[in-house]
Amino acid sequence: MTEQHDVSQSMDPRFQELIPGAPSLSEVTNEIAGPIERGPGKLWWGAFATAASALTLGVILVAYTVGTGIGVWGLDRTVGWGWAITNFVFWVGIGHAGTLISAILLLFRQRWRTSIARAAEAMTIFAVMCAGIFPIIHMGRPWLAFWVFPYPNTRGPLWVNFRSPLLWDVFAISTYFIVSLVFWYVGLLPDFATMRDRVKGWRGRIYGWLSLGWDGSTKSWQRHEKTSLLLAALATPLVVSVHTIVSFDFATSILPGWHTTILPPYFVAGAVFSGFAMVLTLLLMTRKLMHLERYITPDHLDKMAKVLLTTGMIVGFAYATELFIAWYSSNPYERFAFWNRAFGPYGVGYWIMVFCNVVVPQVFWSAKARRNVGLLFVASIFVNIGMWFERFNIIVISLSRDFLPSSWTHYVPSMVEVGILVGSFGLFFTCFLLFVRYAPVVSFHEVKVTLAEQKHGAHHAADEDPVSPRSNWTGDTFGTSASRTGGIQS
Amino acid sequence: MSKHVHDDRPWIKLDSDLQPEHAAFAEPEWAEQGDGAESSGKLATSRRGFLTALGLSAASMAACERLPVRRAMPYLIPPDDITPGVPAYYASTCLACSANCGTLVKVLDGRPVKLEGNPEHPISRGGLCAIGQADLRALYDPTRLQAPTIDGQAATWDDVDGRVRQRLAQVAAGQSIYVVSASITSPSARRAIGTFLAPYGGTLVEHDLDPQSPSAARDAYRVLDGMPLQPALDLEQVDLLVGLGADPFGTGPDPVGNTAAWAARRRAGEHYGPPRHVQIEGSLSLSGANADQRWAATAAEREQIALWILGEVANRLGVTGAAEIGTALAGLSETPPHEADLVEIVDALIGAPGRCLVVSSSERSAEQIAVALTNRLLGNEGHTLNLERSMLAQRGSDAALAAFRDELAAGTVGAAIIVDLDLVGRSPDGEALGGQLAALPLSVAVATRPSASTAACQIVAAAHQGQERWADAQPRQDLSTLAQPTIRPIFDTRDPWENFLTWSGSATSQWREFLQQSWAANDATDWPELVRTAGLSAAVGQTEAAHDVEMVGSEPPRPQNQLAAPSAAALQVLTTASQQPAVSGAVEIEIITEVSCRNGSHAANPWLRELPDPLTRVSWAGCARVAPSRARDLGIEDGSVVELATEGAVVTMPAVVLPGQHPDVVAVPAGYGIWDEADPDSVDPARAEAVAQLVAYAADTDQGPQWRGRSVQLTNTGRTSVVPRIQIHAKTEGRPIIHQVSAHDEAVHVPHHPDADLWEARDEPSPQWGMVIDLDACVGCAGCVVACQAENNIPVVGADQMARHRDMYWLRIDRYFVGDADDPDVLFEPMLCAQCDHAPCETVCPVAATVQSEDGLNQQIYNRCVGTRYCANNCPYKVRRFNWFKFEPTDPIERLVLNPDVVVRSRGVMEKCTFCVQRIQSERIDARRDGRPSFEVQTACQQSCPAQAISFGDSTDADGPIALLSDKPRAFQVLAELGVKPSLTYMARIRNRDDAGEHDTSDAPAAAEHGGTP
Repeated sequence: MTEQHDVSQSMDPRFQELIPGAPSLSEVTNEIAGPIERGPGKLWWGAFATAASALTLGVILVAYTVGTGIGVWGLDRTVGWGWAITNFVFWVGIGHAGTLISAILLLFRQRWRTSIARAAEAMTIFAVMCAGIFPIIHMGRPWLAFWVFPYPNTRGPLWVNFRSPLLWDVFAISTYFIVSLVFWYVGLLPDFATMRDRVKGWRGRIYGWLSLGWDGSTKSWQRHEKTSLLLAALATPLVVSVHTIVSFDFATSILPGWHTTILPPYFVAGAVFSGFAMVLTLLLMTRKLMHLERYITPDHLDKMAKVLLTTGMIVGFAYATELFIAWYSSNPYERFAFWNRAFGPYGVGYWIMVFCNVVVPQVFWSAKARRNVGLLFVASIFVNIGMWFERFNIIVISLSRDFLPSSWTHYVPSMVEVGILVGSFGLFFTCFLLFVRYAPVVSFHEVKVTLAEQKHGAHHAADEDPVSPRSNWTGDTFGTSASRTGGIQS
Repeated sequence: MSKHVHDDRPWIKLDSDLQPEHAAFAEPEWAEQGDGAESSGKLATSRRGFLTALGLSAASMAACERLPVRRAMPYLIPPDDITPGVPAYYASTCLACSANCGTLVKVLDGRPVKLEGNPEHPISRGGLCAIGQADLRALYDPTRLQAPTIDGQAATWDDVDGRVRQRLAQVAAGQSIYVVSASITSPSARRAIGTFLAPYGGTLVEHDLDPQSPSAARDAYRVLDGMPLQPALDLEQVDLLVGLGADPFGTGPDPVGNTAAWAARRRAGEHYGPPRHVQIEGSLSLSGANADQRWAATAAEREQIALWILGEVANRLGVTGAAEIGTALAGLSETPPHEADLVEIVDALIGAPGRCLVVSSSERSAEQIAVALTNRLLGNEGHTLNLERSMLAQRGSDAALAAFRDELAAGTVGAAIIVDLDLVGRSPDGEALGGQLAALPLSVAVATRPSASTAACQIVAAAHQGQERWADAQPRQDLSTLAQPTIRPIFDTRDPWENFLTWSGSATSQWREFLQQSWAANDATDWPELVRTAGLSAAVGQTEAAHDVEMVGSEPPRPQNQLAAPSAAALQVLTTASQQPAVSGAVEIEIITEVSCRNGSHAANPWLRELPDPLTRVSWAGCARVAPSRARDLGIEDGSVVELATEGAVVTMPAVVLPGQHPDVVAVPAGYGIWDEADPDSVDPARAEAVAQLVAYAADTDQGPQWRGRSVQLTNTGRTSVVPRIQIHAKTEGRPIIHQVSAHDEAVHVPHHPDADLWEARDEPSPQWGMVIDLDACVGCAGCVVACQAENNIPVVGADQMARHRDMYWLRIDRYFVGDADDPDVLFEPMLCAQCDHAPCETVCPVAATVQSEDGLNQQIYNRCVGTRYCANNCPYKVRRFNWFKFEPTDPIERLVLNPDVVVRSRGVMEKCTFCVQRIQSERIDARRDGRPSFEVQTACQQSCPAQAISFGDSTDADGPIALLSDKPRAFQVLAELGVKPSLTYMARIRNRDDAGEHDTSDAPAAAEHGGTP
């Protein structure tokens, strides 16, 4: 211990305290795999029961909607998109942080990401799944949803309309989902192998299948690292493109309040903002549930809070810009759309958004606040709410009062819509809880690399290739032998 | 091939019905791909074809007669006149109200699928109102009475006849027999009833229970000249129209004819100077909404104004009798409000003798006499007021009804036959009346629908609906028309008048034969020819004279009137005016009729129930209308439940805030609250009772019904209820989306927007369809809305869905209030798919379900649509409609109303106006077959418009109506600045008033507070 303490004192400040106490490699494995092997606690069961109930409610309500008609929602002739599309954009936004953390922070050499990347990626997958449900169920005839895919067909063939932003959405989101899923799964391969080696019986066999016969050879590690790097490079532009294209749904329309060029950057910043808020919410929960305080440290929280503060100010700036441009345009419809957003019948939604997204993150100017777990949790929930309202404001308020006052209506969601949102949270948390229960929520191999760097950081930090430690780090394939890994490292 | 028949005789369109027997089947009828050559050998209409058409009419008559089926076998050799899938048009008469407009009934495969106005009809001129259009839905109403009943048990017609004859024979000598009916305009029906009643010395009572009844106006002429009559308005001759609470374009007698004539006059304003309409009324009416100048006044104030105008006119003109009138009016000391305006109006009236008109709908005798005298002094009689052509519609007599009620109460009535009138459900103390009827030796209800009256009567004689009937109609003295059946009766029903022939043991028990004989006696014209033209070919003069002599209770034509001093009786009535008690403290109640349900006789028709009122934009529910300032004082908002306390009753109902209403007037529509046995949930029972009580209150006075001006306590209960309302925002928000101009400067001034375009110009081959709507002609009557509904299978969604703003109308009429909330200008703007050339809906659909056609239509492909609703979001006009549920009717009878030429949309798809593409295609096919390079199409809305406000055609045709109208200074396009290139152009409303241009569409702040905010 003394020795480790010394090492930590001499290492590169960048790596300080990323993993406090500098556990041994076997300790890492035991601590991460332990909760999985021990079985769930009461807290997990409670959370799972709640999430599964919500999911069941959602499934029933979706079946009811599809069986009866979209009329069971609160939509009307003027507000064609409401709750469902708000949820869609909300979930897509949340789905951004995972890839941002895994890919962009990887490329930017942010070591602190390793402990949280896996959970964030999982969150991305589940969030995009939740998001993907909404555009399908909001269709009048969801059983024909496959018509939005361009493929040679027997219907003419009839092709899709390549001018439609909704079609671009189909491409953007399916691409993003597939790349994220593959990236996540590729990262999981060595860790599934570790689990395979630790768990006996049929569960072990399942882990064996999931690890696709990972053998821990140097060749495998090399290929794994190359694949990861390539996928990271592929995923990086997607982080920007997905929400940009989602914003095109609105920006390319003619509706006042939608038809603005600021939407793509505004949406991307908002997505990072909301994504980080959700990561924060989840990690604070996971940390508690899975006893991972050592790996998800106040330092992590501090950094994420800084991201929240930064992106929160970006969206705040975007809100101000929108208002200014609406005024500056002299376009009466445009001016009215933004006046109406703030002071119209849905004005309270606007001010909730401003409070949650612009005012609340300001507490993170204080270093103390950034490390206060309770405050962080509350703030992250606020941001989630605020970002949901942002989408609601853009979609519903703009639609409800557009060009011809004769057509203005007031949209109120039905209980079915609210229930489906609850159901989507149910799906999300059910998936996430199953994930933390059955898959290593913190990446063994990446933490171990970080740990190694933490130990030897001072010597390697200066000219380090961001990926090379991974490719050098071929040990601990089986996750059990500290001496073996130590040997390879030397 | 029948195009020439179409041209010669526009009222009958017998496309392909005139073909030689075998030609129709030897050659393909529909040359879909323009293979005109193969069918070019077909004949243009020949004399032979024409004769075939005559034969057709006769044949179809026989086919429609309810006779025992002797044999039934499939067509081995199909009849000439029926080609499956090809519609035939039959000229007929609308029997839905006593205006009796001319119709053309489109019949396809044995069933009528659309009613259109008959352009040859001299009064309706091709227009047909919402009620006329919706009569088709009433035909296919599964809740209609389907068979006769005796004491609530199903019965055969033989049973019914036997029972009626038996009971009639038992009627004691001292007992009287009554036939009580809604106004009868059919001369032959009067004869039939006369024949029936004669042996018993029975009485015919007519009454409509209608606040718009012109009974008082008729009485005024009785007092003045000793002869009741209701002169026809000749609005085409009018330069200045002054309306005192009258609603000639909305709910008054003959709205279609009046609208057509006034629109023609306004259109002629270009050459003869713009006409002017001043309206003074308590509650905003459709006519008031269209007036050039308007202010609100209570009933008492309006009476005062009528008398004041009479006094001024008499004084200024110094005519014979002026002194006497002055003396009679001496008691009238107060000057009515708006004196400056009134002085100016009197100047204008005197400046336009014989070219002005004062009309009133008041039931106050003094006001009606004053109005009649004013018109007489101004020389309007014989010019703008046609005494020769007395209206015979709506001749209900309050006195006769009261006499019947008295006798009924006294127990001296032996038999009562109630025809086409829910007397029990809509009368004061209807319950007692029902009990009295049930206790009679014989009570019969002749009706098409179940009602409180059919429940009360012993025998229910289920009657044919309008399209199943032979009938004639004489809505005015100079006009008689025929109605022919266009479908075999769907149920086991009987013509209402055939009952009387059967029960009287008349030699001719067949109603059609009786009708034919009745006409043959008066007119030498060949019967088939008469039927073919709906009687319009008859020699009018003969018809009038000969028919009238025999009619029960009809008025002979009155002699030419001379300007003479009014009689003492008339002067006496004038002096009663000032004795009317003024309203104090409480507000006054005005029982009104709404455009859609009128007095309630159509309240069971779902098309009409769903049709939003043009002014309040509320559907399905009757709401008390409250003025903005009164609403502000009482904290009333749209949907607030208010309490109306009268002397006898306290009733609650929802309220709507209606700008333009007088602050001291609360208006309640009479048409709601019909009792419906088949669907008791369709009407809130509490509300039904409420309206009935208020109507009873208004009707229950010593001097006959007083629909306007009785006092009532109005309070806000603080509760709210959901009101189905299609438009919740009343103002334009200052947006340049609708324009009104002054008569002096007709140009619409809109900022110029550069015509920048990122897209390459599209090829625009002829035709490119375009539409122009003249807002100056449009009165907002909503006839087009129901015409569109009938033509395009627009579903009825119900009150709940309407409250959720899920109306399915492809064509709606937006209504905006402009200016001060208490004194607004009202603007109507029919809004439908603009068929944009750069349609924003087209670019956003992911599956290309909405695309541009070669002829400039924006097409919606239902079976391609997956229902993302993105197109609707991106539509600036919000004219796209989504099928939230499966809205199509499931009842097999109800489904008969569906137009087979138009797809019925399934759940989950988007739909919208197509510019009646089925009509375009049909005409295109005909044109190709006949080798014509161009062709004309009439859309359903255009066809139905009484004002002919809608023009439709090829916009590339430089001499066509679209190009010509679009060049006028009044033309503008809505939201053209978005660059969507709409194919829909509007012509601004003209307000013949000096400050009209200034008002334009800017909103005064006062209007912001009320007039409906969401």
